[in-house]
Amino acid sequence: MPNLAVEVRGLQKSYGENHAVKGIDLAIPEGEIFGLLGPNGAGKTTTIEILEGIRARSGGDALVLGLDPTRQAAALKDRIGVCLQHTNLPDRIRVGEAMRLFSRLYSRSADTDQLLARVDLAGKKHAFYRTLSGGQKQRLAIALALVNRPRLVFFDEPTTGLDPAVRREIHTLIGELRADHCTVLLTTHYIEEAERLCGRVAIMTEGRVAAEGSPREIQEQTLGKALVEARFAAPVPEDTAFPAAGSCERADGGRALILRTNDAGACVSELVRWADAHGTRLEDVAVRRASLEDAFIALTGRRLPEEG
Amino acid sequence: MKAYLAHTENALRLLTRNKVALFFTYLFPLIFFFLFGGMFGGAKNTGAMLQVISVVLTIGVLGSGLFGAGMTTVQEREENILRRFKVTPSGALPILLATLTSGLIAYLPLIGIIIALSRVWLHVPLPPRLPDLLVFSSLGLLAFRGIGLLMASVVNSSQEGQAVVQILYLPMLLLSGAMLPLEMLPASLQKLAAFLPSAYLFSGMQSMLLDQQNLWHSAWQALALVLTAGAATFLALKLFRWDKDEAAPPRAKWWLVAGMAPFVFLGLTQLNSQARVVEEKKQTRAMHRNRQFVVENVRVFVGDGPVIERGRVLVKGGKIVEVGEQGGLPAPPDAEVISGAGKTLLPGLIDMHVHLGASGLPKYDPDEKNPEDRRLAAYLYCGVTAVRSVGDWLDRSLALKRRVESGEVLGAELFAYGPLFTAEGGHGTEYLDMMPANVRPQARDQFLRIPASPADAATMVHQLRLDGVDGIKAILQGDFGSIHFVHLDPPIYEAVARAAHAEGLPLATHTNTPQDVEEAIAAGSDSIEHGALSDHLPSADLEAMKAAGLAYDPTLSVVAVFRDVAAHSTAMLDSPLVQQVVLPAKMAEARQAIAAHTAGPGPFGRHPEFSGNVAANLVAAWQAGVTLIAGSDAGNLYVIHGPTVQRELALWVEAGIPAPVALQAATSGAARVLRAQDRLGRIAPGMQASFLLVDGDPAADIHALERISSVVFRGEIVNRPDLLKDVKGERH
Repeated sequence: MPNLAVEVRGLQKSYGENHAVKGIDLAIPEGEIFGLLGPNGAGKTTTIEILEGIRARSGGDALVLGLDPTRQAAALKDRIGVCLQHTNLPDRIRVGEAMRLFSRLYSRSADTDQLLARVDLAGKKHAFYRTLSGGQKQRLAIALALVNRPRLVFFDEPTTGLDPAVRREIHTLIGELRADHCTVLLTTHYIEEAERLCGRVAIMTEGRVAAEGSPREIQEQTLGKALVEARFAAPVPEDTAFPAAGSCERADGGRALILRTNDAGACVSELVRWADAHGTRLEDVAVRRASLEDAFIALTGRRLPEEG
Repeated sequence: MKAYLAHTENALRLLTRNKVALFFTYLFPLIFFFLFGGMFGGAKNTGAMLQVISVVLTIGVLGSGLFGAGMTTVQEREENILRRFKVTPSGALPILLATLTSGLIAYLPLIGIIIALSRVWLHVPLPPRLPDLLVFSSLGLLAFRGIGLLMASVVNSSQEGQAVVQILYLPMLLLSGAMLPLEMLPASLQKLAAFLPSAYLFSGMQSMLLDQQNLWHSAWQALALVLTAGAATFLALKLFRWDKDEAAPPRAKWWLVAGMAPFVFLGLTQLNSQARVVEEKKQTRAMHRNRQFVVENVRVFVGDGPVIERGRVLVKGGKIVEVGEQGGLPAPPDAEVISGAGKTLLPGLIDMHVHLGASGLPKYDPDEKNPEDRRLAAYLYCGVTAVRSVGDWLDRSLALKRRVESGEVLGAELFAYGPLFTAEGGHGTEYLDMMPANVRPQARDQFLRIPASPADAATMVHQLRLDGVDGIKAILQGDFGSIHFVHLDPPIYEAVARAAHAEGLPLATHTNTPQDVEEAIAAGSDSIEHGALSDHLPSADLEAMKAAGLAYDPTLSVVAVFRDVAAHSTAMLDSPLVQQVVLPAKMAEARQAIAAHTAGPGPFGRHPEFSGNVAANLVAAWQAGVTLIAGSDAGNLYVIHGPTVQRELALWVEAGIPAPVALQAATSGAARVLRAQDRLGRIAPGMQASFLLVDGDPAADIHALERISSVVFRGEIVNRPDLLKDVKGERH
């Protein structure tokens, strides 16, 4: 049984009558890249802040790297790396100076020049912060998060607002962390990012974890292995049943059906047979895997912002 | 610790790259420095320049605290810079401490630059209390940066921050005394100023620069600054917010007051608010006494004989630095020039016999405020720059002496002999009968010394020396006509004289008969007061006086009153100076009383013939070569405090004493008996700059002393109109 970097049981956070986190469980083994998804207000920011040691919990147990984040916050902060959204450095600090400043805030530190090289900012060591592009600033933020050789790094929406090419660079950097046996816990709005980077994902909604597992497991648990979309020339009566499908959604007055099924083949056969039997022409059939996004929408009832 | 050093280094480095912060830290105070420095025109008034330094340093502290620490922190929160540090293990404390430290490291060079520029550009000498000033300014800087940090913790946006900073900055600056002297503010604002740290910061700096006091003198202020630095920083830490989205509740702004609680406490202690006004007065005095000026083309009466017909006197830093012929070396270019054409410059006049506790006027007014202060002011107004009190309440006269020395009170220098040594039932004790019964015990203790034995006398004299008196006064007075006075026992008087000599204190003896005079000569008294009222002093006595080198103080003024009152004459009230220093209502009362003979000058007053007799004794003494000093016995009825020496010397000249002799008795002769001849009584380099300028030549016409052009006291050119207001109680 590998060591758990993060172990959470029944975690709760309330502000008076407002229950932001209503009892969640998480178990993240060392070396995993774990994603936390959820719409705004789901409680994921609160959860992350509790685990980072910057917000006190109201109830439940939590151990991060073996430390209690509420009672041993300072010790914990010394060992983790955090890459928050919406932070800045002073305009006129140089990249190298920022690295040195942060390295001195921890009990142990990495070689800052090596870190800069790793995030491809070696040439910018003497540049002022304000001369950096958005992507360079984010790479610097990642380097700063790694300055204390952390065993666990939190990323809060690491690629929001960056263009696709830059986003891919960041993904590469985060992926490389796994080679260092570094655990990563990231939150994101981007399904593709979660699917690409994360070994496992938890989807949070309304203060609870709605689903947890690898992206494929969640897809399959929630929606089944496939989605069959069929289009008929004439509306299909409402009470029509297709046993191979787990559920059936109607659209366009009954002419379009979206069926969830674990056996795509059986489902398509049933559709064809029905069409034949009722003399309705099956205009179009499409089979696709249920995506994480579909699962998300199904679980939370909300869409995530489109990829930019 | 590592985190604190890292943040401090970072803060300092960023400061050097932050143009706005550099402006507020250095350029802004320097602009004020050059502006004010230029306006006050350089070395003519070192005191004003030192004040400019205090103003500039105070502006520097306020700016660094409220803008440098306060607004900068608010902006860092608004720009999301602070929140990056939220997740670091060291937290907010090292950041706050680094803000304090980096501010201090940046501020200290400003002090150095300002003082170096003052030295080089404006020839202001290096302040002797520089280390104290550095420490005190540093405490002030830490306190204000703490306040700035606390402000940053309780405001929710840059806009709110700007508003709060303006609400703090402008009142703190205007009510600190830096822009306007506190005395000029209405009383309500003065009371408010007592609660503001900036007023204490400024007054502490002033006391070190102008008054040359050390840090201990401003200990309470320094302690309050330290406590505020601590309290404000502590509260800033407790209320600290990393994110601009986390709002502080509106009530949180009241924590700012809590941060300045030590000053709220200081303000509430009334002692301190009054003490500050006193402090300011002393500092204003010190500033006025720091001028450099030259009196040109003036006749100089040196004081011990020589006269320079056309001379020049240079004054700097409260002392006379040069006395010479006009047309010698040119005057320094940055000295003020006062023309003495047609005038005479002579040392400040000295009245060797006054009683400050009595008004000299008919009706006693129990509600009169600070009468002794005002009487000293009257003396100074009339060019009498020193007086010898030979019979006044001990504690009050010593306290008054201290207040003149410190600059709190502007008035003649006071040499205080304290109480009268007399016998039980002797002269002096009759005054107790004139006082309310409940005051008598205290009066006896303060005003009289009645030794029971020679040993008792020695103990009393010893204690008086410890108390700080300048000399001892003893009374030798027997029965007077029908009035019975117990004469002081000779062994006791001799014991008093021996003790006075042993303690190094000069002895002044009141005498009535030639026998008393002989007793005083034998005991080695340093001066004899009154001499013999109804008898001629035998020439043997005069020769003995001359041989003993003691001084004779005839006090013609008091016996002249007896003559004038008997004749219903108000001559003593007619001089212009008397009319200036006495309130019209009191003057009218006095005239009425004399006209109606309703207020007579006591048992002695029935003897108008004393005047002629004492005048004759005076002339004889002069001819015998006895040292003469001039005293008036002011406080006795109709001897009006203030223009006493003018009156006394006029009577001397009337009696036949040459004016130059009279002038010498009232200047260098008197200074010698006071044992202050190293600094008073002559116009010479190194002497205290206390002198007067009169129109004409008093050595030719003694009445020229009444035509006063200027009075200078310890280097301060006295503002006589303002001083007259003090005399009349028209101010404060």
